[in-house]
Amino acid sequence: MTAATGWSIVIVLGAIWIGLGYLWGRKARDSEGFMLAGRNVGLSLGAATAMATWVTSNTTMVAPILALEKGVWGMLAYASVSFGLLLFAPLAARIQRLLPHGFTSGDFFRLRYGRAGWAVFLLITLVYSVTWLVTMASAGGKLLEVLGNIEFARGMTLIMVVCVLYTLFGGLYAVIGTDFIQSLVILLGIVAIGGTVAMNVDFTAAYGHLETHQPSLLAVMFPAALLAIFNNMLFGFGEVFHNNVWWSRAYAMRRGVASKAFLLSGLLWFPIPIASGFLALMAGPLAVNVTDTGQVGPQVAEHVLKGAGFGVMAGVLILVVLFCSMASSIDSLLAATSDLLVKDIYTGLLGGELSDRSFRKVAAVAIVAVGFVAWAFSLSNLPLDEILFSSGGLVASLIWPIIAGLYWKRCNRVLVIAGMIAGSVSGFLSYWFVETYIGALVGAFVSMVLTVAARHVRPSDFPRAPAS
Amino acid sequence: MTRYEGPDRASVLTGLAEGTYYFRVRQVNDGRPGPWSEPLPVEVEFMSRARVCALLGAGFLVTAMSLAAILHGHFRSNPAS
Repeated sequence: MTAATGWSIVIVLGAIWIGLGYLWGRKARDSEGFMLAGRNVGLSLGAATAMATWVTSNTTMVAPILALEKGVWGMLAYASVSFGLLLFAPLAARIQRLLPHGFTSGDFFRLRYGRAGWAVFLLITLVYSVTWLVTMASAGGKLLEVLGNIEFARGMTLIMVVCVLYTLFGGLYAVIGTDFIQSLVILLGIVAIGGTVAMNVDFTAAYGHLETHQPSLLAVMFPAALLAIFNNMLFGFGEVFHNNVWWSRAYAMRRGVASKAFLLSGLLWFPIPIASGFLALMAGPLAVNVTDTGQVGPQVAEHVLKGAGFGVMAGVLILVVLFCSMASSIDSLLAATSDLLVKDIYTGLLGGELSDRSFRKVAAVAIVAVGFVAWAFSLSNLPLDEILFSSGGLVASLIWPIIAGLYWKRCNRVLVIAGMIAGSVSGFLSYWFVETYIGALVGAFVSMVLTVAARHVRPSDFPRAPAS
Repeated sequence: MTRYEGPDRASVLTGLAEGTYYFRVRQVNDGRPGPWSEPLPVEVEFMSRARVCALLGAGFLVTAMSLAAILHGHFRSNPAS
C-alpha cells in the first residue's frame, strides 16, 4: 500500500467519524447528555460500545506479541482479560443502585474513601489512562508505518487528531454511536481475516514447525506464559473495575441493561485476542521474519491475505479494521478521562463551578489537553508491551478497594488506602526489578491482604446513602 | 541451520527451549557472501519451578478470592437473583 492510500483511508474514515460525531453530538443538550448520553443507552448499543472499547489497539497489536513470545498460553492469557468485563456485569448493577446520580468512578472513591482515597485513585487512574492512550496512539503510528508506509510520528498524529476532533464534537453520544458501527466492522473484519488465515494455513505443518523450532510456544510448563494468565486476568479486573471508561458506561445504560450488556460484550470479546494472537503464532511456520514484535499481528495478516490473492486490498482491510479498533478505544478514553478532569479535579478538588454552557468549553479544553499529553509521550515510540504491563500493578491494586466499597458495610479506610499505595508501588517495582508479567499479580495480592485486614482491624461504617 | 536470509537487519527469536544456542551473521553483497561473525552464545533459562509455583499460587488465591467476594456480595445484595 502506498502512503497516499494510507493517508486516504484514515482521512476518509476520520471524516465519517467526525461527521457522525457532530450529528450525534447535537443530542447532548446538557452536561449529563454530553458525559452520559442522557443515561438512556439500551442493550445493543451498550454491549457494542463495551465490546468495541475493549477491543483496543492492544487487543490487535499486543495480544499477538504475547502469543509470539509466550505461545498458546500467552494467547489464552490475553483472552482471559475478557473475564474483567464478565465480572463487571454484577458490579455495574450494584453501581447503578448505589450511585443512581453518579457521574464518574471518582464519585465512588470520594464517597467511600474520603479525599485522601479519592486523590490516590485520581493519581493512579490518570497515570494509567495516559499510559493506555500512549500505547494506543503508538500502535496507531506503528500500524500506519507497517501497512501504509507513513512515517510513525505523522501517522500517530493523524490518528490522534481525528479521535480528538470527533470526541470534542459529540461527547458520549458520539462515542457510543461510532462504537456501534466500529464494533460491527471489527467483528466482520476479524472473522474475515481469521477465516482466511485458517483456510490458508497447513495446521499439521505449522504444528511441526513450532514443535521443532519454537517448542516453548507449545509447552504446557512454560513459566512466564503461565504467570501471564493470572497477571493479565488481574490486570483486566483492575482496568475494568476502576476506569471511568466503564463506570461512565454503567451510569449511561438504562436500569436492568448494564449487567446483560457487560456479559454479552465479554462473551463477544473473548475470541478476538485468540484470533489476533493466532496470527503471531503462525509467523515462524509461514517464514515471516519479525523485526519488531509490535508489528507482528498486521505483518502476518498482510502476508497471509496477500498470499490468498487479496493483493493491495489486504493492507486496506487490515488498516480499516485496526483503525476502527483504535478509534473506538481512544475516543472512549479521551471522553472518560476528560470527564474525570472536569468533574473530579476542576469542580471537585479545585472547587470550580460550571453551568451547562461553560461545561462544554472546559470539557473541550480537557479533551484536547489529554490528547496532547498522550501525543507528546507517544512521539518517543516506546515499546507497547512494556508501557502497558508496567502499569498493571497500579490498576490491580484498586480491585479490592472497589469490591469492598461496593459490597461491604464497613472497613478501615486508612488501611484500604495504604493497600492501594503499597499495591501500586510493589506491583510497579516487581515489574521492573523482579519479573515481567507479575506486576498486576503482586499489586493485587498486596492490596487484597491489606483490604481484607481493613475489614477486621478497627473498621468503621461507610456512609449509608452515598448517592445522596 | 539458517535462521533468516534476506534484506532485514534484525530477526526476533522466540519460543526456544532451555539451553545454550550460538548465533552468527554474515553479509551478502551482490551474491558474494562475506565472512561469518564470531558466534554469539545465547543462554535460555526459565524461572525456577519453586518460584513459579509460589507466584501461581498467589495468582490463584487472589483470583479465586476476588471472584468469591463479588459473587457473595452480589447474591447477598440481590437475594432474588
